[in-house]
Amino acid sequence: MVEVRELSKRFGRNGVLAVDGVSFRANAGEIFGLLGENGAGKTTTLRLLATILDPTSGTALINGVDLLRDPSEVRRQLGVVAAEPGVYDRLTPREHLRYFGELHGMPRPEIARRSAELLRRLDMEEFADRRSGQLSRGMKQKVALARAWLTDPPVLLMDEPTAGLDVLATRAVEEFIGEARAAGKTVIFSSHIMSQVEKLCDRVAVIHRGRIIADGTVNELKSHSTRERFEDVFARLVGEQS
Amino acid sequence: MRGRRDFQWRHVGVVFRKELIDTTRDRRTWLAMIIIPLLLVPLLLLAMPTIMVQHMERVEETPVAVAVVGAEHYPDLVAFLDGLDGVNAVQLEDPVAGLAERAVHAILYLPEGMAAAVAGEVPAQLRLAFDASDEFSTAARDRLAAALGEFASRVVAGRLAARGLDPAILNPLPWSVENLAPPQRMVGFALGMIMPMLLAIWASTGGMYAAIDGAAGEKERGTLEPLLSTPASRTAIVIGKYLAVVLTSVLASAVSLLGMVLTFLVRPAALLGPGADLQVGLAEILPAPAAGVILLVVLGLAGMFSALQLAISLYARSFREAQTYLSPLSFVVIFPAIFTQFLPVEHVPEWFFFVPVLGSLAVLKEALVGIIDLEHIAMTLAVSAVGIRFALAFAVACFRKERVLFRT
Repeated sequence: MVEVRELSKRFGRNGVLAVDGVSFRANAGEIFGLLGENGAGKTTTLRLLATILDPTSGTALINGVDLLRDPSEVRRQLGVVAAEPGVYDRLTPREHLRYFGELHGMPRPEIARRSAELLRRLDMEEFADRRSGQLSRGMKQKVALARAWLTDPPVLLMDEPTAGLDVLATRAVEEFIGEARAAGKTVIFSSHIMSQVEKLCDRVAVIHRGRIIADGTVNELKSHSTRERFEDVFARLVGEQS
Repeated sequence: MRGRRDFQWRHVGVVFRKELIDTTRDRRTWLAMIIIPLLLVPLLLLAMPTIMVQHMERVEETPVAVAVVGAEHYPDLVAFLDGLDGVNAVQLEDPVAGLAERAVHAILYLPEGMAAAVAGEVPAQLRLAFDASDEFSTAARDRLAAALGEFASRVVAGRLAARGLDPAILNPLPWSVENLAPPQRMVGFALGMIMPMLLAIWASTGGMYAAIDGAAGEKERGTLEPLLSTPASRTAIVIGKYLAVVLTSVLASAVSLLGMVLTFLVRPAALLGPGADLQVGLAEILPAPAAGVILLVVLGLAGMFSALQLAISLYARSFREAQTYLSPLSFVVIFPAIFTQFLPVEHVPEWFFFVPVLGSLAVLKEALVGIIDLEHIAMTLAVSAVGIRFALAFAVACFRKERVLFRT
């Protein structure tokens, strides 16, 4: 479970509020969508949750751990996948898993066992021992998925994880997210693609200029008219703000 | 609040090992860390002097062609010159053009009535023209000057003999020269000229690619975010990376030292000049205490620069930007190195040892000449330790600064 309480982030002393009093709650076994345009504050929110950035005010509980109190323990609860796969060109996928497993303090034999399992499940065995620099973007993103799942964390943060992927790779990511929900994990998933959010997410928060302007199930957000397209819902919500 | 409490040496080890694997798979690091440092000294000491000697031999072996103007004024001299090995006296219509076209190497002008002047024991004024922009012509000038001197000596000897005098009276103080410096001192002197600079340069730049890759490279590839999302504290991540960069730098220095020692073992004459035919063992080239001092000083330099390089390349947005920022850093070493290169060890001012880099260079120089001055060593290492302390704190601070990490 992730509980975000009045989280704010200001860059620079007099800079803009990139995240402005954001609160929401994402439950275990639930895919929570953060929907917003580019620059709306999605990435900053997720970086705050991952303790990569320090909040200006507010806090969040990640699986019950306050990120202000024990950021290191918070990171132990997390798997993180971003739009950029973020792989080292000169390491193989298997070596990536070993590196991140060791950073999480997993014992070597367990890393080997879990890696083998994930590499099989994500259909990566063929390129598991090739240098990552030679891999396609989709393959690299699979490395990122395996890396996030390796420690079996209760919470997954996914920031536009399908950006720049082809159809098959996108499907692999979506299946992965579905499996995470089935496994009882809390998935926070950010996207600006309406159809994807509509298809995957149990609940959605619409974020605009750093603030959450609406949240609920997709159907609740559509409540005005059930025939309304989700895109129009978003346009209406954002339009009401400006 | 963040970091210190979560710091674990285990994380340092994990990051360190990964950085080393990553670095050893990078061709650039191999080139910058092993191949260039290893080959530079042998090339400098073996190939360059050989090429120069060969060139000089070629110049010396080329026969000198001299155009004699007014040869008829004193045929004896012309015959003498022409009779010398490797000298050809020729007659040219336009000797100046001949010199310009390099058909001849020099022009010798004999004055009118020269034969009579020599016979009458009156000075005869000769003129030798050459082209200073041409190496061969300059060599010809020296050859001809020596030949003319020899001819003059013969004339003088004849005059003295005619008066019943011994030519030896003209040289009342015959003297000879002897070099009493032991070969080891010569070795040290020659080493002290170039090795401090090279050791310092590799110590400060040998790990540059590892530093850029570990900071700007992580940013550019988007690997920094996943790395920072692991339980490892930022301090542990920086220190792991830092140790890998230090190791790379020290290795580059060690390899360059190895190149030097090998050169010396194979051809001692490479440093001492031709003719210095002595056999030296490893113990004479690099005695154990000197090697120890060199290692410590190199560690100090590498320690300071590795941290600075990490911090600066973390500030950069990309690999190339980091390279641009880091290149000037090597001048911090090169300028003092050139400055101290020709400074005799005995005349190094005390204050040098209180200045980072400068003190390191001076102590390296001392060690290579065979001077182990504990006070200087201690001072320099203390200065380096303070430098490392601040540079590392700066690097850690950069890894915690959001403005540096997410600079766009």
